[in-house]
Amino acid sequence: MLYGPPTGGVLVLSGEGWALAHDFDGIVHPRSDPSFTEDEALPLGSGELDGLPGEDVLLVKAETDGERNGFHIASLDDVLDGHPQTELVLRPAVAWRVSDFFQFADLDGDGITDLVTQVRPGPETESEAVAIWRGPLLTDQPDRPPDLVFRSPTDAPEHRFGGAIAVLDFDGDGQDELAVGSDLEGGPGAVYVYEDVLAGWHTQNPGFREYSASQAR
Amino acid sequence: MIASLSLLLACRAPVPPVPLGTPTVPVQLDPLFELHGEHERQLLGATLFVAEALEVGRPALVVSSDVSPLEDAFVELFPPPGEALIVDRSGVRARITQNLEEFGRVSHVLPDTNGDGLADLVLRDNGDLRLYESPHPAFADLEDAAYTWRENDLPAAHGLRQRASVYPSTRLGGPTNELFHLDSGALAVSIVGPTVPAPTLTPIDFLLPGAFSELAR
Repeated sequence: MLYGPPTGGVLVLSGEGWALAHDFDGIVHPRSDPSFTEDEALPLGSGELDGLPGEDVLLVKAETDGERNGFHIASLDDVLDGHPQTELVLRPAVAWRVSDFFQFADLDGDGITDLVTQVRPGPETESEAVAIWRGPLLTDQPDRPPDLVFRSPTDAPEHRFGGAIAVLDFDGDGQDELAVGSDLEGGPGAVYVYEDVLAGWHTQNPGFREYSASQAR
Repeated sequence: MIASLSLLLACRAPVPPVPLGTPTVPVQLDPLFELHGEHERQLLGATLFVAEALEVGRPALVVSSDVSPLEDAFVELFPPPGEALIVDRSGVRARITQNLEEFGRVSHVLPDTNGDGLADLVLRDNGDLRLYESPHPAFADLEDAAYTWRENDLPAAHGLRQRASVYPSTRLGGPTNELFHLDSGALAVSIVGPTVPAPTLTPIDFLLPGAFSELAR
């Protein structure tokens, strides 16, 4: 992983664990933590994710039995100190595994980062899907399930639905749409663009903007 | 009185979010529109990304097609909002083709490389990385690449291969962007514009030996 922390330099993940290469001075400052090496935690990105002060690092971590995995979020300060402690865990259901492909977006227009990712089949499922966790990702639940999981219109297995995701206001209405690649679908592949994927969530949660704002504070 | 107070507090309390439906049971959504590939094994949608400022104030969707070696692979740029809605291939603004597999994979948008304020593209061309400068008409031909980081330019001693990751200049405190090349043996960094125009680019500006493993997007 490479990450440019606000203080300068680049954070990298080496074979020995975490390391901080500062300002390309050629000196690699090790920040090792044997309990959190690349074998079990793949760093993916960073940003303000949990609604609390300070930047965070998003990691995907496999469970010890290899059957489950999920996103783990740790504070950047802890990572730089060499002790990245998981602050919270986002997991799909047992039947799904999160992919290492994701996008940060604001799909509900509340100004807070949401997480969009592909989820891959598990023992009880066959076709890939896309999962959305609404921000802030702070939660009281040990395992927070996604707010929405949706499959491709064809719902066929092994089409790599969600293998590529982009967020853009395609039609100029001021709200982001979601473009989802399905590059093995039918042979030629396909791209689907969805408008207001959280419309159903809006209907069920008319006060969500106020709630999200209070959580962010 | 107590009942009235409770009612008042309940009215002012934020609405907690609830999952939309049952997360283990994915839903199917109707897409706003969809694109389908035209050739067998085209792999339309293998890569999707948004170029936020490819033209002034206008984002665009960039879609790669990774077709078989016998046919051209290509990258398409779709129009920004405010113009025709993307409903079919008539919306393609520009197409760059190359008769190689994996053209367009591991692609990135550079905020600006030539100081004109427009975003530019780095596209993978098998082992090479090609820089295409905005505006769009410059993308009409593969040979319009302003600069090519060639696989053979990388130090063989470290076993480097081209895998791009781009970070904005502010991360490192300077007016440049950085292009990262990575393999198990080292991390290489190339500095790109806008203060370093294409004619003066070099294959590698910094090299950090180490067992680096992954690049964050």
